[in-house]
Amino acid sequence: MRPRRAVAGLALLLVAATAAAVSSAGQEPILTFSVPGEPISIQVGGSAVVVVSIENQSIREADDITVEWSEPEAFATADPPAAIELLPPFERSQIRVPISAPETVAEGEIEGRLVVNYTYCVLDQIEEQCYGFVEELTVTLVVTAPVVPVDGTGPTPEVVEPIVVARPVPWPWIGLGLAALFVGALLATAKFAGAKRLAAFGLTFAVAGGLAYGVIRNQHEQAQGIGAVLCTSCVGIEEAGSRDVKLSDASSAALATLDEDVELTVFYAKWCHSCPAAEAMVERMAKETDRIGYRFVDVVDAPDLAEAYGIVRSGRTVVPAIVRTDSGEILFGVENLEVRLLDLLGVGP
Amino acid sequence: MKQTTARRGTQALGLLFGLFGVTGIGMTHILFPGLHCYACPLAVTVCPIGLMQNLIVFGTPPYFWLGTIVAYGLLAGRGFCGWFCPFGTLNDLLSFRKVRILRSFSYTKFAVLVATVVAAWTFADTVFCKVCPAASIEASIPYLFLGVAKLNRPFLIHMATLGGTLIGMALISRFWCRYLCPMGGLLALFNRASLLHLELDPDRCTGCGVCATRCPMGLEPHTEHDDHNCIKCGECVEGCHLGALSLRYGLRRKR
Repeated sequence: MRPRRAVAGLALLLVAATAAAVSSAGQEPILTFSVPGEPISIQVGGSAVVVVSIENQSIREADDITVEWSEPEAFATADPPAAIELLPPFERSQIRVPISAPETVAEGEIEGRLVVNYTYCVLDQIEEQCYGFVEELTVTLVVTAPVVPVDGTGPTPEVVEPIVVARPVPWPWIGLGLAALFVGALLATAKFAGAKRLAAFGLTFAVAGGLAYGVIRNQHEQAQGIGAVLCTSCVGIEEAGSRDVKLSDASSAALATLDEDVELTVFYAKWCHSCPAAEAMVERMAKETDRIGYRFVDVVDAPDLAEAYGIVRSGRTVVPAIVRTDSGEILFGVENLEVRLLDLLGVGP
Repeated sequence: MKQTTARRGTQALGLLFGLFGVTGIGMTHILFPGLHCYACPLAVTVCPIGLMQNLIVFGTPPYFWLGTIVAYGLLAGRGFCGWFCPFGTLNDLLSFRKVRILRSFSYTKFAVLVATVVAAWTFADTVFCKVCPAASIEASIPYLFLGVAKLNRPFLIHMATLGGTLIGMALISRFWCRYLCPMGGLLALFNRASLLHLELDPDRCTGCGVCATRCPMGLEPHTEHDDHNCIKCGECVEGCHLGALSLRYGLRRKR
């Protein structure tokens, strides 16, 4: 191999990778919805349930997800729309929408429509910016004749089965297993049948496919999110600290002398092990006096707020960080937090 | 251009890439093909080992991670250790004694990799990062000066592992890469399939063993040119006056 080519190739790779990494975060939908592929059967005058699976593939929280039956209107029940208040990042859930077939409907296949609504919010500077989304889903209904009971008094009341919320099939893991089998088969082909080119082609395909699927699932954002946040206990800058916070009597007495209203903002990340300790300490101190107001902010949801409060150090958002909102003073980490926090509040020893 | 010069060039590129944050670019979506702490104030890339532990904690099916790692593995395998990784470069700079000792211990790095996975799973935390010597240099020390870190127990643990690794490196060339690096362990899995590879021309080789004295990983390139430990640095190629060894890029030729 010519060394010159290696250098040029690597340099090119770097440039391409950097260019590809320029991300775009904006008002894009963050949830994917799916309904059963098979037709849902429903008896004339009977009822059924449409199960809508929801997956959040973004690093943001989705709020107020509602699913409502829209067409044909006659199938809608009088119940309020089924809803989920909050769906955390990278989680799945289900919403069950009850429907009922009117007595007058004809038998046969009908296309039904559902409307989903949800919002998500990002903190832009200090303003919270929320985006709302409306999507439409279609399902196929098969309306069947009512089963006439032997005594002929009308349709039998439907037996309501107990609702069993099944664990979603771990398709991503099954896919990984299948991919591993595929790659194993390719390697075996290369070794025993000598089909190296075929194996190389197949491997390239598998790798590119895996990467693409990862990007579709937004895992590159997840990776970036983890890298952009420095959690002090994660890389061993300090110990995680305990959620079990105890306050000394001297501290309680000092807090009682606090004679001004103080607003504290605690920045945290979900995977940060020292953040709960910081939150607990602020909560504990706020219990002692009503002059402390506080809020907890997830840095993944509010990168701009973190930037505005100056907890970003050389491109890393450092958590846990406690900011005194009026003066802008910052405390990083949880080590010796009781004393430092009292100092921040101006009632330290 | 001599191969060693070229390698110094790509290693410099690796360092530049690792410290690309000086330009003001924040964190990108790219995984670094080596052991380079994402907590480093100047890092613009994600550490594969750090991300791996986080994914284990979250229980995320690692498509993006796996795709990237396999791609790196197939592109150059451990070639990244020899040609790109900044921590590998540090190992290189301290390569005074290219000894061939404790060779069976080279499997320890797979144990470190497995232990990293198990610890992340058991404690739901990035346990390896707390002892990683790359993090000692790239996170602990810088953040001490940035006023985030303090001289506490975790800091001292970091300094101890760093000190131990540095002493090891000075006594045995590429000590970290040989025995302990989990990233090296990951890339080693693809070493025999990677496009960048060392080729031996058996017709030219007389088995004199000069190449073995040049190998920083303590291998004998004339008998084990496709070893999982080979970092494809090409030192042996330069050392072989018969021209029996060469670095090639592409599918392996049939022999």
